[in-house]
Amino acid sequence: MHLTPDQIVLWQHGVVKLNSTIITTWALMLVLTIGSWLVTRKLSTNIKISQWQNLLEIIVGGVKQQIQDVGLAEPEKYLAFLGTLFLFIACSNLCTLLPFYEPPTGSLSTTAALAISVFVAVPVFGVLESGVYGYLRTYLEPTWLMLPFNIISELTRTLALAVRLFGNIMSGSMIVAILLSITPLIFPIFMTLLGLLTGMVQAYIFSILATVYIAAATQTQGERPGTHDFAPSSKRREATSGKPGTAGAS
Amino acid sequence: MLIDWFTVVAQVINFLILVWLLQRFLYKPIVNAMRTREQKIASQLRDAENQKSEAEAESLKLRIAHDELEGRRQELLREAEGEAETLRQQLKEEARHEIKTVREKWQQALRDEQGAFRAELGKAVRQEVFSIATSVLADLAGVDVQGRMATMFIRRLEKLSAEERMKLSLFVTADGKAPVIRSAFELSPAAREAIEKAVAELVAADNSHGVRYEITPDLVGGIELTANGRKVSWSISDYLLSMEQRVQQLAAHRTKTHDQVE
Repeated sequence: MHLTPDQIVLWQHGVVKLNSTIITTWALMLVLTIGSWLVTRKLSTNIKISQWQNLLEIIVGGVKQQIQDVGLAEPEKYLAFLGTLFLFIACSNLCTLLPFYEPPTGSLSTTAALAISVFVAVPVFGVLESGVYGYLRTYLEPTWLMLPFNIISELTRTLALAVRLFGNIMSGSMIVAILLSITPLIFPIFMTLLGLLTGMVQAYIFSILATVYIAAATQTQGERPGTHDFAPSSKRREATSGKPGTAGAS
Repeated sequence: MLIDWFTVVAQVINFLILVWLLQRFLYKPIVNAMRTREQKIASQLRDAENQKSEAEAESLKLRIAHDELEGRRQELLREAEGEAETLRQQLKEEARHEIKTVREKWQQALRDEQGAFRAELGKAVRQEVFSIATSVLADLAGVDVQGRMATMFIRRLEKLSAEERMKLSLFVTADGKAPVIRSAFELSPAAREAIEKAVAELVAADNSHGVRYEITPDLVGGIELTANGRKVSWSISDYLLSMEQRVQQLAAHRTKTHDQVE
């Protein structure tokens, strides 16, 4: 039994290696890309559309709506990054139904990579939206005394993102594997179903937290008098408090 | 160690590639398609709104036109009704006038016919009554009616006043013609003689012209003397006229009673 799919190494040359995590990720990327291409190569702009186009429009529209609900006024700017986060994690977790499948999200390396991406994306989007000075000012909010806490908050929430997703998915896979060896009949099926639910919830939590972080970084300007504030107050408080675990605990 | 840093780097790269791929094959086309469709729907809705506005404007225009037509129709109807009423009154008046004219003509014709009939009846009645009276008196009393009539005529002459006698005498002599004795029947020689004698006395024996006799059936039982337009007569027509008046009064009374009953 492996604690992480990183340990299943198929090919290695020095530090360069192809493990189960990378191969599965490539497979998921292939499926997602080919699936999207198959549907979007003949899109209809009429009132009547195909079922697959309808499904994709519901997903994309839903993601856009979620981004907008969190408080980002122009969701299309962030759609690619946040939507891909959600779709990748959700597909990765859904595929746990397949036999012999090791979810890449059950690898701390993958979740760390995703968390690092969010960690980098937040200042990038913040700078693009408010400029370098405007973004850096957010670390001095509400007073300069909060600067160290804001920096700690950035680091800890990234760590929390990575560990939360890894812990949930890895534990789910582990529980199913352990139960299979103890009670191999009906009970693992229920645990798999529970794992599916947990996986979807984690995908949602991961992407919504990333959205909230980006919203907090881009909309600090909005808290100044005379500008609009689109972020819901509860989510903004959570995003700026540096306690991501309170929202994402499961 | 749970974190393999090579895998972390590889997964970051993989993730960025996936972001680019999905942006290229999923989000961009889908968002564009949705936007295009939304614009199309918005355009269709706008068109529909425009068409609705046009239809409403058209409807309003048609309603106004309809109201105008309705008003015009009512006006024409009122005019036609007025003309029809005038024409009706005119025709009624004409008809009334015509009826009045016809009735007057009819009444005149009726009156004429009635008069003619009455005259005819009176004449027939007089003749018949005279005939019956003559027959009855002759049969029952053996009276010479014609002789009695001549006698009555002579008495009539004799009863004339002196002034009338003189006037009659003057007329007879001035005319220079024989005075005419008219009767409805042929006078007997005795009667003629008595009449001639009476006339001679009347004109104081200056009657060199004699007397001329004429038969006039219309007189019905009467004798009259005519000289130069002057006339002295005796006839039973007076009796008969009296009877005729009584008969007419009776007929009028019966007609009145009959109308009241109806």
